[in-house]
Amino acid sequence: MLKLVGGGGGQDWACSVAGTSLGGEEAAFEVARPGDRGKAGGGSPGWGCAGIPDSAPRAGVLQAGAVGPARGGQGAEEVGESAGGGEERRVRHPQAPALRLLNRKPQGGSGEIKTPENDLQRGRLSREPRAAPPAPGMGDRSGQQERSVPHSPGAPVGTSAAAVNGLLHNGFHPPPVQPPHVCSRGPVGGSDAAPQRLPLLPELQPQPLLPQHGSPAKKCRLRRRMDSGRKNRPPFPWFGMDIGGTLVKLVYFEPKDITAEEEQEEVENLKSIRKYLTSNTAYGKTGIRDVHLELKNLTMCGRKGNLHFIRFPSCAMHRFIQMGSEKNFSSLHTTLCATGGGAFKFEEDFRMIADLQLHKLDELDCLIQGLLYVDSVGFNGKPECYYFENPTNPELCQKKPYCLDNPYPMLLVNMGSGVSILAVYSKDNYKRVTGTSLGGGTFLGLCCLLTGCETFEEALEMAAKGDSTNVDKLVKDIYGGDYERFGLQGSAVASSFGNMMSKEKRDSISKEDLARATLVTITNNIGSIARMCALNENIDRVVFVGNFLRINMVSMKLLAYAMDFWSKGQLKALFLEHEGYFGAVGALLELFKMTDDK
Amino acid sequence: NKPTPFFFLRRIFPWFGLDIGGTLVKLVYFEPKDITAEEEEEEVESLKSIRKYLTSNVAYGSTGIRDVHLELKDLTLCGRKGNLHFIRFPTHDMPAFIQMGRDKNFSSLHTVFCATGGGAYKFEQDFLTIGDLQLCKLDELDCLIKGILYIDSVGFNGRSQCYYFENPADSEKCQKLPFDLKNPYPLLLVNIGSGVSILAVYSKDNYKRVTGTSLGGGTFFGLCCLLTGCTTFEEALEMASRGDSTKVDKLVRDIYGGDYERFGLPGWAVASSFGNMMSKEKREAVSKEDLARATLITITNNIGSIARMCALNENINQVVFVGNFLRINTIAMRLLAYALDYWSKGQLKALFSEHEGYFGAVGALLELLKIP
Repeated sequence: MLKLVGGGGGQDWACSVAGTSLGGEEAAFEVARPGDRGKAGGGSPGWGCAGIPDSAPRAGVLQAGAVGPARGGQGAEEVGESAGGGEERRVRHPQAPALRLLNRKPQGGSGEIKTPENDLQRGRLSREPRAAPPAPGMGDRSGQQERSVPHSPGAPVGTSAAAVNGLLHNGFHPPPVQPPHVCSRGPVGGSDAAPQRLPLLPELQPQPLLPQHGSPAKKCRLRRRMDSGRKNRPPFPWFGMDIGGTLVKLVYFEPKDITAEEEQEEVENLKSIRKYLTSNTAYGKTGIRDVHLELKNLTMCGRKGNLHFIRFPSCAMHRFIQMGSEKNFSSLHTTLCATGGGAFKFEEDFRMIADLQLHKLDELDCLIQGLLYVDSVGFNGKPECYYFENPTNPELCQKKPYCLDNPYPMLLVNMGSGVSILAVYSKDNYKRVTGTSLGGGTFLGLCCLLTGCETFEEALEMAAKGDSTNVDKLVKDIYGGDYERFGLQGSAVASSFGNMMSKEKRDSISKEDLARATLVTITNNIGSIARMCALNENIDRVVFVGNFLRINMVSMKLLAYAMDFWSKGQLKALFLEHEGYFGAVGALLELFKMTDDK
Repeated sequence: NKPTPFFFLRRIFPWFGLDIGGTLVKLVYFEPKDITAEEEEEEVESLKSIRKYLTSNVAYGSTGIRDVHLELKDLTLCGRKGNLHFIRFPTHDMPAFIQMGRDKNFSSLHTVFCATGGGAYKFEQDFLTIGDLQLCKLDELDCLIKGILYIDSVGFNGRSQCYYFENPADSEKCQKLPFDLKNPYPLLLVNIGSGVSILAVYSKDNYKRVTGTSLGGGTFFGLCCLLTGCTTFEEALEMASRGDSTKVDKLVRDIYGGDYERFGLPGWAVASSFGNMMSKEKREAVSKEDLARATLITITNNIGSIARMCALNENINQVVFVGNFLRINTIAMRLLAYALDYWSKGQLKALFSEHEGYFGAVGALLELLKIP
């Protein structure tokens, strides 16, 4: 049961995910090191679902409806609405029995109790019969702000009356500020007001309750009441969580436009969360905030603030949940949107231990929405997307920005613990082409076994110093030169680790060589599979994301090289600065959408 | 059609086909059983001793092996009747083989030596300078296809060459059943040696190399040696047969707590191979056998996955797996059979061939004899 407990009183939201807090409590818990990485990516033994009939409306759009089969009146809405209009939202701190309370129905609404072990329905977030995503109010948008309208965050276009906390109109927030981009993001053609941009979902939803009558002043007052009632904004804190196979990715929106009044009303709990997260860059022993990725002055859901990117090992989840329980996170009545396999795996634990109902989302949906969003807002004025020029030339190879204005179609290769490969045709239309189980987890796992290293960082460091050609059997080792007939250069790898069957050679290589060979093997395999997919899907841009690439320049350059070389320049490998966080961002975005959906 | 002198030249015994691969050398030798008394009298001593040496032994030196169970009896080749023998030894011992050819004055036999595989190129000079032997070099994939079509056509001592597995996942019910490759085309041919080549075969003269992967038999073997301390392929397989890869791999259920239904990934599917090994605790809980098993599963699944993608894209539904990675490797064969069937929902069929890794050598022999 949800406890209607007031703020945490004097406690600060001390505990970090790793268990040590501002107050210095908590023993460090045994977890895998920060080096651990990756996410499930839905990795499979390489047997993607190409053989599995994808129903056409591959719902690329986030379905808020993890709460039940129909959006119309179950789950969140029940409680939320019953409490009346937006009253429960008027203040940020403890609300009436929250949205999530009755939302314990297992998906599918069958009502039976499902445990992690027997709940095979868990994965079914967006069942096929699910209504296609509401035609994303394209019609609405056309009348609304154009993305090219320049305005500072929070200063909406439109009448000054509507300029309340960045709200444009009925709580819908204005489009994200477009930082100076190399490329233009103006609408393409006229048919579709904003074909590429991620729908900033709340603004797409028609607002049925908007009074159509009355003087502008009256309208304005009404708006304000609804705004402050926060009918269309979720209560703070705003998190998006992606619980992967190796790492948990957490994005946190830190509001910077808190009014004095707001601050006064703010629950202690909430304040301490905010302070704790933003005044530290490390949490416990394994939690890390990637400060360099922070998105500043972002406007989200009508609020202005910074978006923070935090990660910690998935094996620390129980500690995290424990902490949520101890710090009475449930009293904040906030919705915790979570994606990744762990959203399913840990759902029960969240509920039983911390009394928190997760709003579970599909990881690939979130990935895509998150990616499109971050690319659209840019990276503090810099481009998010980049590629390598001259990847085959170590001297000239350099990172260059890439304009992902017209991203479709694109092949998206998500490299976490395992790998998923998606063909994305539009923001709402994608399919999972295939996957491979030889991913970041394989690299790290094998490295640990072969070299004795323990962290991802260590593994990469060793790999940077090694020479894989001593470990691998190259074409020239077999042919004495090139295998010309089929265009295989002598330097190409014929058999990865193929030299290691010889004791003599085993004795002559170093751990660094082994680390390098492992990295090269896994990377090349992914690249090869990606290339095959690109070829078969007829897509020439391949975007590589996921935490396998974090601080992993070797792999990125190798992928860039391989894509270019083996395709004779037809394919381009692209990368994104926020690599492994898109799922979490997508989950956060869903939080806003949920709030708005009725 | 009077045969030309050249024709006779090539028909000089001994008849060998050689495939010098990345790890193994495969040698096929045709032992004539219809030698007339006259012929025997004329036979050069060295030729006779080669014949006797090869056919009266099953092991040669410390590493050469004759796969007796694969011998094709009463074969008629080029009008001669005899047995076809299948011999293998590590490529590592090529220098010793060449040396022996020199010592036995093989060059005096003036036979044409047809060889394929990378080693035909790599060792060409050595054959010439040390053994005084001119190799006739042939492409390995041409030979592979030629060889497999021929062997399938002559059958295996009356039995079928080609087979498949029924109920591959069920240890009790799994059985090997013959498959009639009467409509071989189109065919996806997956040659799993040290590395892997994948070919789409449309007719006996028309094929293309679709792709390949460097994660092959050599990877399995090399990694096993590193991870378990084993030293032979047999040892590696033996350990794998006793291990449990699910302790080593991170499965979908380890991440999702169950199936990832949305994309049809059952909980038992591997999400991240070796993914559990980043945890010290888990590393300490697995055995060498588990590691060997995981290596086998990982490599096999990867090959199968790539093969499946190719089959899908080339629109081919019969996939034949050959190559010595599959030698005595029932685990891998059954896994390929199962996985291909499962992930394609029964659309694809995995086929296997008794003479697995010898087709290249057979193709080389056929080329020697100019058998189309």
